[in-house]
Amino acid sequence: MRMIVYKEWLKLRPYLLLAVAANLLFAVWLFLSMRQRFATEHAEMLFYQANHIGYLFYDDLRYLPLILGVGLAMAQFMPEIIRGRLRLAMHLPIGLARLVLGHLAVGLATLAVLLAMNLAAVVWSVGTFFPGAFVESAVVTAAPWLLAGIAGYLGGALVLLEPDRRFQAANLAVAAGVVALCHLSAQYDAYDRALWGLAALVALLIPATLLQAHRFRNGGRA
Amino acid sequence: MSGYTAGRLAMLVLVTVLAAIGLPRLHALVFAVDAAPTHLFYSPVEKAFVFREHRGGHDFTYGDQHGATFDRRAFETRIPFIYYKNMDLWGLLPLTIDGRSFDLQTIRDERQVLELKAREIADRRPGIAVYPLIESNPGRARLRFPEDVFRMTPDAMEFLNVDTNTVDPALTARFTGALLAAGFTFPARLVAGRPTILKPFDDGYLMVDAEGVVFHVRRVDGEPVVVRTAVPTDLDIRHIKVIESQRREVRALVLGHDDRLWLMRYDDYGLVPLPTRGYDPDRMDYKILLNPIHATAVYGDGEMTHAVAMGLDFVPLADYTRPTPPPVRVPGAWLADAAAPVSLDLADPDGTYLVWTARGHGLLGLAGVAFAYAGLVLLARRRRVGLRRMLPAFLLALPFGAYALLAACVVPDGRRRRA
Repeated sequence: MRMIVYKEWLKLRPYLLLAVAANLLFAVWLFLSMRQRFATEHAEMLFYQANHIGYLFYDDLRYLPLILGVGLAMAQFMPEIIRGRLRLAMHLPIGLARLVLGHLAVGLATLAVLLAMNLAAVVWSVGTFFPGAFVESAVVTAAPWLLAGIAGYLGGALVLLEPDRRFQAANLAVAAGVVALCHLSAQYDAYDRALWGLAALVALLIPATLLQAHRFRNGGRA
Repeated sequence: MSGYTAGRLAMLVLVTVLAAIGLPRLHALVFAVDAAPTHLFYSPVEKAFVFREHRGGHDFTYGDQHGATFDRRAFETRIPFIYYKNMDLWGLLPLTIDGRSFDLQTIRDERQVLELKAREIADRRPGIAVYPLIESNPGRARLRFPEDVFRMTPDAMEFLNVDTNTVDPALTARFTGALLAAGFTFPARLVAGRPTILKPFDDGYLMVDAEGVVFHVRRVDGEPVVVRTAVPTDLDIRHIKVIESQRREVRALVLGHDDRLWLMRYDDYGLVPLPTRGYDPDRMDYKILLNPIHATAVYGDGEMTHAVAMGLDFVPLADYTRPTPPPVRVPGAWLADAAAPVSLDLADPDGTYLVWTARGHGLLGLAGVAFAYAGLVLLARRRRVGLRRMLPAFLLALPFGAYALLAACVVPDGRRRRA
């Protein structure tokens, strides 16, 4: 397992650096854009817009987790698929499930760091200008976007590991379907009562990847 | 359970759930049903209920509760307080009803519509519990937002300066002290107001304290004005809609957790019970139409519309319930019902919270199960796998019919049957 972590670290290092830099830039940009709004408009009107009109000052975050997740899946699995490295690794004396779950664990841990940065950026920016209730609301509102990032990563793995184009298209539809469910509403707190069900659906993508890994090892013959 | 089996099972569930959500949505896009609610009114002219029913497209039926039908103009002349501008255009004003004469200005002054929509109820829509307490005596033509907001903490009405995002201790102490002096018991159960400046005047907030007592809190000339109302404490109030109408006759609509609805008088905070037989606040919008002679309560859902005509003292005079005509069926509309006994959705058409919902499709859904079972047997033969391997799909097909069959087709399973 340690070897998998080390191997993945070497492979993902450039992507991680790029993603961390992008996240830092986003955090600074989000903070500055909010500061600029508060500098140029009356704060009481911004409170009104945020609470009663439903304007999301952090809306630019919406698709960033998805981009990060899909990008991570590509950075992690494309080299494995194109150069056949994963197939070689599958012949090592380690169970297939353990091998695939090990890769996913490294990917999910990396993604967790990136998504935590996204969340921290929102908490920092919103918390600087608005009271705690707005921060809580922003976290609940951003949660399905973060889930979409995880679905993007796991869905990416699902698509890339599938050798058959027809089933690859079906997997793409499945991943897109889960991601779409994470982006159904533009209203704040809309997912407050639906988050656990959505998280369960996203979590199902983890074992689903095992099927694709099995098919990948057998060249698409299940 | 092997990784392969777990993976296959997860994919089957995923595809089935997504299909059970997505395909009915796609079906609704293709086979959209043209439906509009029935409009029901009490005619002060005819002393009977009149209605407008939708029959699809631009086809409407106008009639009354006794079975008579008429054209649109005749319908509008039967409810002149609703269509008073048309009455004026057609030269029918002033009109005389029951010996009383009503001109344009009288009608304008004495008509009002109050409404409580299902999606407005506090626990049905997201909201951030931070409110502006607008100055009720602005000394100018327009209201304006204060530079502070308040939130109810477990032991205070806490004000925050919006420029600095910090607590204002002086204002907090003043308003909290005024509430405590009026007998308010923290924490607050409910805070109800209209935090907008787009209204004729500001009436502050109605708050329900921990004991169920209703308080009226306003900011007048910067100072707290708190009124402890005599509203009974055992009402178990669920929602209050503050009205703030220039007529200043009704202060609020008050909804109880037991679905009872009251109108709060402006002058003395007295509650007037409203008719609620068959009213379901989670599914129905409740409308009160006030005119110079009557008040009419109208509420309903996609199946029934109820109306109760009352005098201006809100004592019921007559009531009428009219079933909504079934929507015009379009060819292929049965497909969604025949696909599966159950479909899923992540939506809330009556509110703004998304919720997972399962919708039953009645006996027709069993056709989807039969279709799925036949399809699964054929699929097993084609893939040359035993029926036992298809057991998860068979189980999923019980509630999800054709959606489970689709999942079984999409999820690969090429393991050969053992010889």
